[in-house]
Amino acid sequence: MSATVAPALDVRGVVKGFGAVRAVDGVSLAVRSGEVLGVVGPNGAGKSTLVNIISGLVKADAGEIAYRGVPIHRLSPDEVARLGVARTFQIVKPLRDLSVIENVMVGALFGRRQCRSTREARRIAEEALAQVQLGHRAEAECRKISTGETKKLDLARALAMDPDVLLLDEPLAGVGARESQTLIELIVGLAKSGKAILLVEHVVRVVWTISDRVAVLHHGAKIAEGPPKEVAADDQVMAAYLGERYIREVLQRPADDAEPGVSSDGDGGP
Amino acid sequence: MESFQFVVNGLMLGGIYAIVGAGFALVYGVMNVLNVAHGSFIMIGAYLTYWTVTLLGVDPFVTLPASAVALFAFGYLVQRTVISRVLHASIFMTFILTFGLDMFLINAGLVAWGGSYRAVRPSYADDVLIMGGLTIPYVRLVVLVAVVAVIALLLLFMSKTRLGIAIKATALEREAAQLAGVDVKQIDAITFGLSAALAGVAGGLLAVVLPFGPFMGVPLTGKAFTVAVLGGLGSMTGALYGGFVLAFAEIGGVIALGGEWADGIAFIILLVVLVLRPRGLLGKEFFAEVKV
Repeated sequence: MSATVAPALDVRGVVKGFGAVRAVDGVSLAVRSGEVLGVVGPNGAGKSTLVNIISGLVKADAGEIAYRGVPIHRLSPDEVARLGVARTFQIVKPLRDLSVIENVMVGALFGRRQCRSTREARRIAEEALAQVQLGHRAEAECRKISTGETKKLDLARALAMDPDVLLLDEPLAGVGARESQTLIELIVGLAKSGKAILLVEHVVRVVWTISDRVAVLHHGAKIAEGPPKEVAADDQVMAAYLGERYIREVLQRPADDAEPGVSSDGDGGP
Repeated sequence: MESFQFVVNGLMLGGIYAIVGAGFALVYGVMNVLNVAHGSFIMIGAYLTYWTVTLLGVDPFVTLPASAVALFAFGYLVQRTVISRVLHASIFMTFILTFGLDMFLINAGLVAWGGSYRAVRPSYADDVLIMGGLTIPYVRLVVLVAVVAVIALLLLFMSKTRLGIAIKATALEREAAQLAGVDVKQIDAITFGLSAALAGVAGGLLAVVLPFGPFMGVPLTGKAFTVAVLGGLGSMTGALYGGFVLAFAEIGGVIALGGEWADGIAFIILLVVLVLRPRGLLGKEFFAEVKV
């Protein structure tokens, strides 16, 4: 009777090749409810492909993915989404001809909540927009908002779906320093409220500060996983991935003067 | 008097074109298919209205909801069984497939009902409303009311209902809609059904004002395309505007140039728009890219 609770998200031995390149090479990861798993790695390490595979957009060549113990790797993206796995995009594709709030309503209507009425969906969308502090732009047209605002919009749409698992693909890219701080606090709060969060992020300092565990991908394979301090102490891994200067100058400074917006060496996002 | 007639006829024909074009644009916007068989759905709608009126003796306008439901079911099935197979193929494949479907439906119409022209004549077909020196045939007035009602319902459906929002979301960003939980394959079939239902209603309305036969849909597919291009291909609201623009241009053109120009005007407009303003009158971006 003492069965262990299945992780919210369980990725096992996932492989994906594009031609001769193995973009994801046998990666296994597990994210439990209430924790943030940071996934880091240089460009081309396979982070985004992994998120695409979990969300069902890309089919893996091999491996299994389970959500609360239920296999999801053969489901279509909308089925995965309706079960309770929501994602955000590195480059957001908002529904351009709709207003900000209508975009978020789509999440409330068709995500796990399956709101039957648009009035109810609007109320949930308003809450989600307030959570990401975008309430004041609710009626704005999507094509007229800034890059930072589209990132918040994307997160609000994912939240409106009422997910158990959140896949955040670089939620801070293109977001200003102050707004980043808001989003970081929100992500931490979401994990505390019981959501399982897989965070892919270029701003390594943020990943190190807010992740409970960190997984390092390199050439599609996982080369390290563990609590941030342990992974950071793995000199070989860190040298291979981050460059020694980064470790010297950034990671070994006290954590409390963390500035979001600092990017790792040669690895800075757009 | 003449200018009043011009406006009534323009609004009536414009409304029908708007309904036809909106359905055509929806299918293109959602699934990147230019449905060459769209006109044949109109033809089926005309015959449905004709036979219901002839066999049951009901008012033609009462038949419209029933023929909308029947054509929705037909369109849904056609999408699920046939159209869905070419969604990932090049646009030429969708052309060939829907062209074949058009041939099939026209010839089925010929076999079933013969090639002769028919007309739907309600009991009040010759009655006119006289209003301060103006005479308006009752039939045209009812068509006008029906057209306004259908367009209003369509706009309400698209902006206020779950399904309408799902259709818009799928047309705007298929992948993002799917990741928000929208079952896009289901939405494809529903959109095709909705498009056929709109065509069916338009067919029923046309049957009341014009004689028709199995080939009636052929020029109408061309007009649907013109209307959709006018509005910015893939934009449903654009097509609604486009319908009225085309109708007034046609009627004005006929008055200025003569009746033989009626069908040519649509293609002149199409040519001019494609050369000067390929994004359509509203200047909206194309919803979907053309895959070749």
